[in-house]
Amino acid sequence: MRLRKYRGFLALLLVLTLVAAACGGGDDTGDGGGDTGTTAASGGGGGDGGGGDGGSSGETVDIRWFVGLGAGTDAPVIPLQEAIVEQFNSTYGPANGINLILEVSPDPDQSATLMQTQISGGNSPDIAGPVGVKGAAQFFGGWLDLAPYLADYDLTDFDPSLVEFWNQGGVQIGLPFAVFPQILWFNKELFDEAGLAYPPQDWGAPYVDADGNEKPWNLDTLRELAIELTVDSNGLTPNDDGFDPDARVQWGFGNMFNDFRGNASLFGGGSFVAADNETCQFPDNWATAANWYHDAIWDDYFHPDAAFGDSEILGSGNWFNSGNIGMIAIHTWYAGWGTADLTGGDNTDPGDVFDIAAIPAGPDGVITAKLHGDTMGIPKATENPEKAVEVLLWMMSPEIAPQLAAIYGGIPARESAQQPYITDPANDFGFDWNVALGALSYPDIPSHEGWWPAYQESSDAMNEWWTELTNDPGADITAGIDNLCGLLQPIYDRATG
Amino acid sequence: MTFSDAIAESRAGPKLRRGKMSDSEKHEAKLGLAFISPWLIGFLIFYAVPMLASFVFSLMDYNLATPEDAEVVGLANWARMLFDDSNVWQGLWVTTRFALISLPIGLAAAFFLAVLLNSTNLWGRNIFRTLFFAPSLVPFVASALIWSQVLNSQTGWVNRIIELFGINAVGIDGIRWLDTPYLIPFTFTFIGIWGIGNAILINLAGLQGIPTALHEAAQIDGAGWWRRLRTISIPMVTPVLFYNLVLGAVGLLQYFLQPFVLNGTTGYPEGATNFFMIYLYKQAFDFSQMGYGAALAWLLFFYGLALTVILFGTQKYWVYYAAGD
Amino acid sequence: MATTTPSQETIAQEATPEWKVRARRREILVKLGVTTFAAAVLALFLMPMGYAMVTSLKTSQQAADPQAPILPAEAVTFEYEGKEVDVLQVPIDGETRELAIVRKGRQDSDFVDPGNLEAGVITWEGAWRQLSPVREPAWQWGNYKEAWDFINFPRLLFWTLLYSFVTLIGAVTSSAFVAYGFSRFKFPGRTTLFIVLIGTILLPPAVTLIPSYAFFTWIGWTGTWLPLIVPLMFGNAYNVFLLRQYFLTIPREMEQAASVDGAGPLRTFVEIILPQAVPALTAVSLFHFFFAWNNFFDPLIYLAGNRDIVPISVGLNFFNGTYDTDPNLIMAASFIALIIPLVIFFFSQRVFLSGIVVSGADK
Repeated sequence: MRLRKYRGFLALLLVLTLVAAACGGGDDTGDGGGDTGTTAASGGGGGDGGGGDGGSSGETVDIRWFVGLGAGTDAPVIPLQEAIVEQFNSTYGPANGINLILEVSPDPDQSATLMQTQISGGNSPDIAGPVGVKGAAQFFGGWLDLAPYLADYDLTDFDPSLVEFWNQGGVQIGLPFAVFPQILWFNKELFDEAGLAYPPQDWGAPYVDADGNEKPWNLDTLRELAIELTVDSNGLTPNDDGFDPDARVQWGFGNMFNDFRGNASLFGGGSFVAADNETCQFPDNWATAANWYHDAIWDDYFHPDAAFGDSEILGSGNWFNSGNIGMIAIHTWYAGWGTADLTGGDNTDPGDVFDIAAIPAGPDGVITAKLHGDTMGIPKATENPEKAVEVLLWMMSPEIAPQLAAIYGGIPARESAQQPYITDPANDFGFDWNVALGALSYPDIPSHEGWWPAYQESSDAMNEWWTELTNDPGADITAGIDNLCGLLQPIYDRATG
Repeated sequence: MTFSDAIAESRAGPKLRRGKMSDSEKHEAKLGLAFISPWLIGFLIFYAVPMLASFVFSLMDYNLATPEDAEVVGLANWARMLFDDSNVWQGLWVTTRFALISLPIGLAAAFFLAVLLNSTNLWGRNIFRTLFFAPSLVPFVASALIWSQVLNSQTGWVNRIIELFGINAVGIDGIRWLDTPYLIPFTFTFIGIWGIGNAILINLAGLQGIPTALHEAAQIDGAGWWRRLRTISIPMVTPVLFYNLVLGAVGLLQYFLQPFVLNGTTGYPEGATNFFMIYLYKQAFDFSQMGYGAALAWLLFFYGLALTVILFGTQKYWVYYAAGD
Repeated sequence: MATTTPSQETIAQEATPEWKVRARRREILVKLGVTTFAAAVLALFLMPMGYAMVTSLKTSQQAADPQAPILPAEAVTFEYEGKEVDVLQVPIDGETRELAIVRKGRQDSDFVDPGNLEAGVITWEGAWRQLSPVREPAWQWGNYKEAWDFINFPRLLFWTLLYSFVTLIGAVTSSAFVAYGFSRFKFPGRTTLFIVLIGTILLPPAVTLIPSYAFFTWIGWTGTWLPLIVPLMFGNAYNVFLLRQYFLTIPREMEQAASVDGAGPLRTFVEIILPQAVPALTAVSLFHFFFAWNNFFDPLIYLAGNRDIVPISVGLNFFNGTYDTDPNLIMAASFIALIIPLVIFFFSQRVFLSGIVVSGADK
């Protein structure tokens, strides 16, 4: 008898705990993003109610700056970010009752999960960045709208289109502080060995070959050069009889670290969603791009396939760094760290090994150099939005923003800071920054990272589609192009309907 | 010899509860609960709440980017999962197929290696055991890198070694371990065998626990190596084999890390790496749909539970417990 | 194997000296066979680690050289007009000379003789890629030092060891108690509770992550080691299940004898059961130690923001940039991280072997 009672008690206890837990859990999730509910989460939350009036309450508020959604996790830049934090905490911070804390994600691959957990777990960071469009899209709807705070903020130093760049779905999630245009990087030693003239550095200028003949600098010319720069272990190129693609030791051209939209931008801007924001479309120029890349990989052999591309011969994914590829198209954020092995050792001057050039024109003669931008955003779930905005605006100030841009290898978005930046010897990576500056006139519109319905899900479907197509030598590209919208439209429909 | 198993006990249970317990039975029950109380307390504090919360999630539209907008949507996630999402069934199929291939190979390999490493005829047993265990200790970041390079169809050591035997393995027309749908289950099985140290260790502990007197007696009776293996070693280690089987099955249902790192979340090639957990992770974190992810997780939970109960039910046919019940 | 192994046991009591010699010879042959076989399997098994070892001893450039030999080596170079140039084996006029290539070209290339610069530039017709470079071994032991310095190994090691040992003691002790409870006592709801225990590992942790995190944030534990340590002190399904399985293989006769002698259940457990379960306890301890040693995701989540107290598993990722990785440094660091668990494993063998003695003697 007694035992049965005991058992009942235990069961009751269990059920009660579970029910209590359910309510508790529900509360946590419900309030995780609110400004008021989760003060229990951290000791510093007590002062946030009246803190908006000014920093004179005497209590110091911790503002946590989360780094990991984009650049900033690489070892060499961590101390530089710590220096910025130090600068804040020794100047602006104490006077305004704010203590800035840097939190660098230990593993960039897990950063998004980490921040999602913190936000939903009631422990949201207050500032997150640097973040690009793609990284920001993962938290779509979760960013604080800065518009109210920017009402009387001086924006004359910014290109208005760049400010607009950070307006996502009617929410101004940040201010631009750095821009990273795409440029062409080429390995001088490999060009010399092949007896080829370098690509042009003036945007829109023709290519002048070794014999002095001019050709338009477009993707056809790039293809010709790239084939010449592709070599197997016997020194043969794809143009020679007996060329063995499995024995390649050098490649001509590669478009690195991109998804399909990023690859296709060389052929002009585009979008997989029509102007109504709910109908799938496949732009003609991108269809050309899909064919071009497939041929480049499997027929012309000058573009690395996935197997070679992941191998050590091509730097375990960082192709240009291996010294075994003639040209790549990549953004300026590649400067410095990206070429560390290529230029390291041997006391080589980086300028002897590689240089940068203009992006070649697409089939219609239009040049497109896709653009990346970085911002800092504030998660809505922050407990101290007012203080976070203060720190953010300090970071975007004319004094600090260019420093931040330099840390991540970006050209400052503030136009007044651009010339000082490119002439600063600290930013000398062995090439002429004016070439990169020139790229800013040819951004991809619409952006290759532009918004589309169900951003992550659509990207995932597109990646699956493109991975299958590029990894199969016999893939039917035409059929593939016809298939994509069949995959995307249902995703759009679920998101918009 | 008494065979016991959980299922038999649960069948006997109601009778036991309805009848009056003797004082000694009550005493025994109290002692049992006292012994398991650490786990009970820990479970109630650290596991019960989150588990239940995750079940509540499965009834919600819960986006990780905007948790404040979460709302209860009833069984919508469950309905979508069960009736309107072919990825779910594909994920279950890919995972089950992999388990059916990988589990027998893995269990056999672990047992075989344990017997080998337990053999008195092996010189330097300690060194062999240590080295066989070493791969399980390689930190995950490194092992992912190692496998992606070693299995590279153009430059990997695996294909270059196979090529030494005169088989065309390297190159575009060679063996593409991570790009060929029908090879995928085997590729990941091999990778799994590499990290089999724990299972070997558990089998070894089982083999070590067999009283040496049993073997000696059998030897005096003239039983050979094979007969002793069959009649003494295997029956005596069935409890730990059973453990390896259950945990192997549970682990494979949640198989995730290796395909996640080596093939990403796209399911490439042709959906062959669309393991259930990969799809779950993608929904819950990549797409921020925690509500749907939780529904998927509970589906996997019930699948695993059914499997576990079935496996426990099979115990009485093949697992030998010397302690009886 | 099956047919030969019994032979060593046939060293019967009444063997004549001649018998003994033959038996001994056969025994050695058997041992040689088994060991060779094991070594062959091991070689296959360790191949990927061999790759990792070689990589850890190369520079990135060495690894990126498509025609490099397997072992770390680099081309002999010669400084010519301020630039390092490779020395190649060039066949000229029927003899092979070691010349430095000063201009690479597709049709012809220019060379100088490092031993005889006055001879001037020699132009050689042909594809230089078909020439073999002169190589010398170049083992980059410096990678290990660089890896060690880069991630502050001693500090990572400290936290890793602390975490592993503290949770080891707590987890194994509590699990042994719980397992004993499940394996020896009848109580109502035992089966259900055991299923619940297994259930805790059936639900993917991915979906309990956020409520758990919310709970630990609520009690102020995030950013500390507590969420990683405390829950393990209450026993977990893996350990409990394994120990239960093992306890069930131990016959009850001795406990019954002990209880006749008046020993309470606790004393029976400590004095009778635990000594017999040494191999399983060792296995569980090792099992747990290595789990803790390599546990990656939980420390990553709960210690985020505090890079100074992370364990090795997380620290290794500091080499792993957003786009750029240093495979050679990751491998080097991994081998450093491997040493301590391997040594622990090696010496734990003694306990394993003593396990035999205990159970053998007692029976």
